[in-house]
Amino acid sequence: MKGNPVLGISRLGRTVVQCTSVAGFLGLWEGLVWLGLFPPYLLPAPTAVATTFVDQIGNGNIPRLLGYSLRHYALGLIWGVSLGVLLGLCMAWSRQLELVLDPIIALLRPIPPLAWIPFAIIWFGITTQAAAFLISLGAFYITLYSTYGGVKGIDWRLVDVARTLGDQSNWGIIRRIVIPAALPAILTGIRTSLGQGWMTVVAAEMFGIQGIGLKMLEAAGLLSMDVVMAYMAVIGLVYFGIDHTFRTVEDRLLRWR
Amino acid sequence: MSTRLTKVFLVLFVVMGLLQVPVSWALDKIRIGYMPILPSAHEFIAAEKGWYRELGVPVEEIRFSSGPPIVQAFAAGQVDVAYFGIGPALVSVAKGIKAKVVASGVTEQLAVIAVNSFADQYQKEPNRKAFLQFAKAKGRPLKIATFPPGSTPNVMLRYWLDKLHVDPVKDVEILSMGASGVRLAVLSQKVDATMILEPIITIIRHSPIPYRIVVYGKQILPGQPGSILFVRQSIIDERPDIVEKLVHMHLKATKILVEKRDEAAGIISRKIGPEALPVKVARESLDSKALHWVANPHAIVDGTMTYNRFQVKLGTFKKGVDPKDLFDFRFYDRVIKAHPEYKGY
Repeated sequence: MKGNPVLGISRLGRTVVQCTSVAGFLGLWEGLVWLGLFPPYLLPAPTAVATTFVDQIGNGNIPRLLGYSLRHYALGLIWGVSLGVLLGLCMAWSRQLELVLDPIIALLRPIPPLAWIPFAIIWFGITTQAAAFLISLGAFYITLYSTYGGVKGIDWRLVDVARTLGDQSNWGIIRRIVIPAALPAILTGIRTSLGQGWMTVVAAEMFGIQGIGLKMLEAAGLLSMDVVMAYMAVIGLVYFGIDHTFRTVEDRLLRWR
Repeated sequence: MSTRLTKVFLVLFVVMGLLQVPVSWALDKIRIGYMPILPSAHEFIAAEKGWYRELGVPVEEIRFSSGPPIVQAFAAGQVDVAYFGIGPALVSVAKGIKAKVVASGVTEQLAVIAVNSFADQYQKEPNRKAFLQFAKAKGRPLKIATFPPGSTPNVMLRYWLDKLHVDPVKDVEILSMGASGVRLAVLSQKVDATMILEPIITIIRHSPIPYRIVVYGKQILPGQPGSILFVRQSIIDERPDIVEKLVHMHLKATKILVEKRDEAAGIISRKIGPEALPVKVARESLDSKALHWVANPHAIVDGTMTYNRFQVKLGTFKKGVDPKDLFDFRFYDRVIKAHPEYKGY
C-alpha cells in the first residue's frame, strides 16, 4: 500500500475519520438488521442494544448486577494478588522455600481456574466467596510469577550495599530495597491480573452466582441477544475504566524512575 | 479502508445474508440435542436400540446440561431435533425460530425437594409464612437451586411461588445452574431446596442428606407439560418421512419406558453414566411419582397455554405463542392411525 492518507491529516481530521468509521459501522449493522437479513436472535440492532442498555440501567439491573460482579472481582483480586505477591517475594528471597514450593506450584499451575468450579461449590457454596476463589486463582499465579521474576531480577549489589551500610534486618532490606526495585514487575503482574480476573468474573458466575456473567448466560438462554450485547458493552466499558485508573496509579507509583 | 478491503467486507456480508435465505438442501445429518435426565430417555433408547439407522441419514447426538443452551444451539442451526422442556420450546418459537413440537415426552415431571426443617414448616403451613419463618430462623432467605430462566423447572418454580404469593426476589434466593450443578449443590447441602426432575429426585432421596419432597409438579399445575420432541421446520417440510419415523420411535420408546422398566433402567444408566446413576437408582426413578409418560401432544395443549400465559406475565416475552405456531400434530396422528397399539400413550 502506498502511503496512508490518514496519517497525513490533522488531529481533528483524524477524529472525524474515526467517528465516521464507528458511525458507518453501526449504520451498516443497523441497516443489515433493518433489511431483515438477520433475525434479532442472531444479530440484534445497535439501536435495540442501546435501548436495552438504557432500560437495564433504568430498572436497576445493571447497577445491581455490576455491584455483585465488582464484589467478586475485588475480593478475588485482593486474595489472589496479596497471596501471589507475598509468596513470590518469599520464594525469591528464600532458596529453601523456593525448593519446597516450586514443584507444588508447577503441578497446580496448569489447572485452569474454571476446573476448580466443583470444589468452589463444595467448599464455599453458591456464594460470593466461591466466585472470588475462582477469580483469585488466575490472579495468584500471575502475580506470584511476576513478583518472583521481578525480585530475582533486581540488582543484588543494591542489597550488598545496604548490608554494608548497616541495614541488617531482612524485612528492612525487603521493604527499602527489594520491593521498590521489583515494583515495576509486580505492577505489571497486577495489571495483567486485572484483565485476567475480569475475564474470569463472567465465567465464574456461570454456575449460578448472581452477577453480569450469569445475567448474560440467562439472557442468551432466552435468546434475548440485545440483553447479552448490552452486558457485553458493560464489561468492555468497565474494564476500560479499570485499566485506565490502574495506569494512572501505576504512573504515579513509578514516578521515581 | 482501502477499496479492496471494502469489497471483501461487502461480499462477506452478502454471503452471510444469503446463508439466511432458505434454499432447498439435501439433509446430510441430523443433530439431536438431549440432556442427561430422564425426560430425554426416549432418545437414549432410540440410540441404544440402533433405531436411528432406520432414518437413512447419520445422527449426531449432542449432550447439554439444561434446556436454554439447546435453545441457543437451535438458534445457531447446530441442533435439528431436541428433547427438552416445553419452556425452551416456547422461548424458541416466540423468538422466531421455525420449529414445532411433534410429540410430548413426560408431564408433571417435577418436584420440589427441601431441607427437612423447611419441609416440616411447609407441611404445617403450605403458604408464604413457611418461607418467612425459615428466613427468620436462618437469618437469610431459602436458597433454591434450579435450571436457568426459560427452562421448565425455573418457570414452574416461579409459578409455584406466584401461587403462594411468595416474592421470588425478596422472600427466596433462586440460583440457576445446569443438571450437574443442581445435583452437586443439593448433595453438598449448599442450597436449601430445589425444583428438579428425575433422576435427580431419586438420587437425592437415596443420599443420606436430610432433604425430602415437599410438593410434586402435578400439585402445582395439574397436567403440567414437561418434556417434548421438537423438530426444525425445514426438516418437517423437506423430510416429513424422517419426522414420522422419529415420532414412531418416540412412541416405541414410550412403550418400553412404561412396560419394560428393567430394560429401560439399564439403558438410561449406561447413557447417563453408571457412576452417576447406578441401574438400581435408575430403575427406582422410573417408578417415581414425578414421571408420567405422555406422548400425545394434544394432551398438553391446555397446560402449555397456561404455562405460556405465565411466561408472558414473567416478562419472558411480550405476547403469547399461538398453538398453531407451536404444535404439529400430523405425525403423531398418522403414527397412531397406522399403529393403534400405541393408542393411549
